[in-house]
Order: sequence, then C-alpha cells, then structure tokens
Amino acid sequence: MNGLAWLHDPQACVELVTRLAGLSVAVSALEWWVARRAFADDAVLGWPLLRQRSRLRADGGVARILGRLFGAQGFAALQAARLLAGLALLLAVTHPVVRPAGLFVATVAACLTNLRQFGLGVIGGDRMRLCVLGALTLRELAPDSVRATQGALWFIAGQCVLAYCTSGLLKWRQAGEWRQGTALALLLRQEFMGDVRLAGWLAAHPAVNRAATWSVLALEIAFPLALLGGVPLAAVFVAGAFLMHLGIGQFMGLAPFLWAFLASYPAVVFASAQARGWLGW
Amino acid sequence: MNLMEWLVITLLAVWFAVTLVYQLFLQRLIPVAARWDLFRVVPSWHLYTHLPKGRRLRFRDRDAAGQVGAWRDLPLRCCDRAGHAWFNPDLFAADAIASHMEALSKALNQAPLPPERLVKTVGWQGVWRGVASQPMTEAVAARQFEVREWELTDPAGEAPVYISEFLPVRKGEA
Repeated sequence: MNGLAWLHDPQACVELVTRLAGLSVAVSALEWWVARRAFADDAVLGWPLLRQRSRLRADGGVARILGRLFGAQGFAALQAARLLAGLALLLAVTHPVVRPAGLFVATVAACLTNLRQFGLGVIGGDRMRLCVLGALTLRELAPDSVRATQGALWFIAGQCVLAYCTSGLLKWRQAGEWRQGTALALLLRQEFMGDVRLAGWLAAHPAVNRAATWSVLALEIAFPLALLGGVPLAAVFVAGAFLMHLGIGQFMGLAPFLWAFLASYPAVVFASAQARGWLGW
Repeated sequence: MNLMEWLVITLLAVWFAVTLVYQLFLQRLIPVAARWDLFRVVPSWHLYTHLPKGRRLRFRDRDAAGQVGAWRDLPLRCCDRAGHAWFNPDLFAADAIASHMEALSKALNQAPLPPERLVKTVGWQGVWRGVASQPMTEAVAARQFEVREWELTDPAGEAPVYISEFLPVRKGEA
C-alpha cells in the first residue's frame, strides 16, 4: 500500500485520522497535566470555583461523585487516562480492541472535561477534537462498514468546512476591522494573548496588515471550495489552514487549534477526492 | 444498509444538522445549549468574530503599619515558553484569569450589584484567586486589585472598571 492510499481508501483514511486524533489527545492531556497547578482546588480553575458556575451546583449523590472526579487529584487522573488513550490511538490504531477502547476513553474524558470546565478553558480546538473523536467512536458501531466509515469522514470534513466558513463569514459580517484589513494588528495588541511587537510592526505597515488580515478571511470564507476542487486544491487549503494555525499558535499561544484541526484535514482531502469522482470533473 | 450502518449515519447526520442550526441561531440557542448540552458536543464555530477588549490586572500591597506599595501588573502572558506554538500549558491559567476578568466586567455592566453580592460572583472570586496567588512577603497584610479595560482600537482610552478594597491575605494563599 503506498503512502497516499488513504486518499481513496476510507479505512486507510480513518486510520490516519485516528492516529492524528490520538496525537492531538496526547498533546492536550500532557498540556493539562503540566498545567495541573492551575486546577488545584484553591486555584483559578479549581473545581470549588468552577462548580459554582455549572449546573452541578446542587449537592447530592451525583455532585459528590463529580466532586471526587473533578477535584485536583481526580482531574489529574482523568488527564492521565486521556494521555494513555491518546498514545494508544497513535501507536496501536490497527488493534481491534485497543482502538475502540482508546476512542471510547478519549471521547468520554473529553466530554467530562467539557462538563467540568463549562466553557472556561475550552476553546475551538477542543470542540473540533470532540467532533473528530465522537465521529470515530460512533463508527466503531460498524467498524467494517464502508458506508459508516465514509459517513464518519464526511462528518469530520463537514465540521471542518463549517468551522472555517462560519468563522470567516461572521468576521466579514460583524466586525468592520476584518473588512477594513486592520484586525490582525488590533488582535495582537492583547498583552496576555498576542504579540505587541508584531502588532506595532503591522500597524506601521498597513499594506502588510491588510494583506494578512484579508488572507485569513479569504482562506476561511473560501474553504468550502476545498470539497469541490479535487485533491490538489484541497491540499492547498489545508496547508494554508495549517500555516494559519501555526501562526495563531506562535503569536497568540492558541496551540490546541493546530493539533485538533490537523486531525480533520485527511477527511477533507478524502471527501474532496470522492466528491470529484461523484461530480465527474 | 444494515441497522448499525443506518444508526451511525443517522446519528452523524443529526449531529451535523444540529451544529448547522446552532450556528444560524446561536444567540437564541445559547441558553438552550447551556441547559441541555452539558458535554458541549454541539460546537459553536463563531471563532474570534468580534474583537475582544484589552484588559490589564494590577495589584498593590499594604503592610500592617498601613504603608501602601506601588501598583504591579499581574503577569498574564500565555505564550513565552519555547515551542508554545505546538505545546502551551501556560494558556490555561492566563485564559482563565482573562475570562474571570471578562465575567467581572460583564457583571459590573449588566446590573449594579451590591459589593457583598459582587464578591460572591465567580468572576470576582476567580480574579481574586489569581491576585492572591501572586508571591508576597511576610510583611504584607492586605492586597488590593484593579481591573483596567480599553477598546483595542483606542489604547489611550484605558481606564479602571473595578478597584477592590484592600483585602486581608492569608499567607497560605501566597
């Protein structure tokens, strides 16, 4: 089997997506593990504080169980389980027991993490990771089915396209700074999550600022073309999106987007190849 | 198509359709999602569609004799670690304090809360936890914090939106 077999073989493509999802889960779990001081019971992301903003405020049996799970030690254990699940998906994706077990653990752990955080500390990358893991886990109900496999890949590709296109269209519609081409320099002015030096440089070079801002907008709004233009165009779009996330990671610190969206790109390219075949272009 | 294939494809199609509808009617559906989507399986793809506000968090200390120190910025940088584009555990704490500041600012804007209720909000408590966890000397008896805000389009418009009382510190918080 050559290295690009996944372009036309749904099972091989799901294998690649699963490996990348495993990598994304492992990196994310390791980040939470390293940052565990922030999740201590007396810290800014401690469960006693977060609990007050969730629907789980009431006392009771479920709340007590969640209290144990979401306290500092329980949450660290949850992240350790995520790390193991991620590594299992990365390294043993063909194993008929390890893969579904790893997917199940990773998906449940992602859901529980979302339940604990109730939106705080959960960003777009985490949402995409859950979409990818959820689709792969559902596919395990019919793991040998080509239709179910293609369905999972199209779901992941669809979520990726919807994410970029929605985000781009709303930036265009709702924020004048994006339309005027000034948004990037302004966004980077945030001291805690930006790069003030680059912001100043972009502000001093408005043509570059405009070009960079509009490039982001164009990439996001036109991303649905990745599904219609065949493999070469899809490859250009996903490469552009990867570079965009690399820049966002470097200059804004939002590393989770990079890995989570990376796992969805093979599905986009696969769907594009299949759509091209259907359309007969 | 067998039953399992049908089930998988139907569930994925419904999930995608709900996601699509959620994007179209986000503002109306946010309360519904907050109530029912506990695991956040339906994503919002409204990513960075508005420019956030610039925010700064400062604090100063007072000793037992009443001597007040200078204002200091709480370091909120999330991204100075080598390789942070790939791996950035520092994001969590910085993002959490920024979110708590935003929540505090919203609470102040929505309805004037009496101070005894404001200090019970998650936003206020989250900001105070961040401030109280900053290192302090043995001489410190109380600490005060200030949240400052500005539009990113108008950095000169920076102004305080909230200044706390001097709050007694427990040394265990340092």
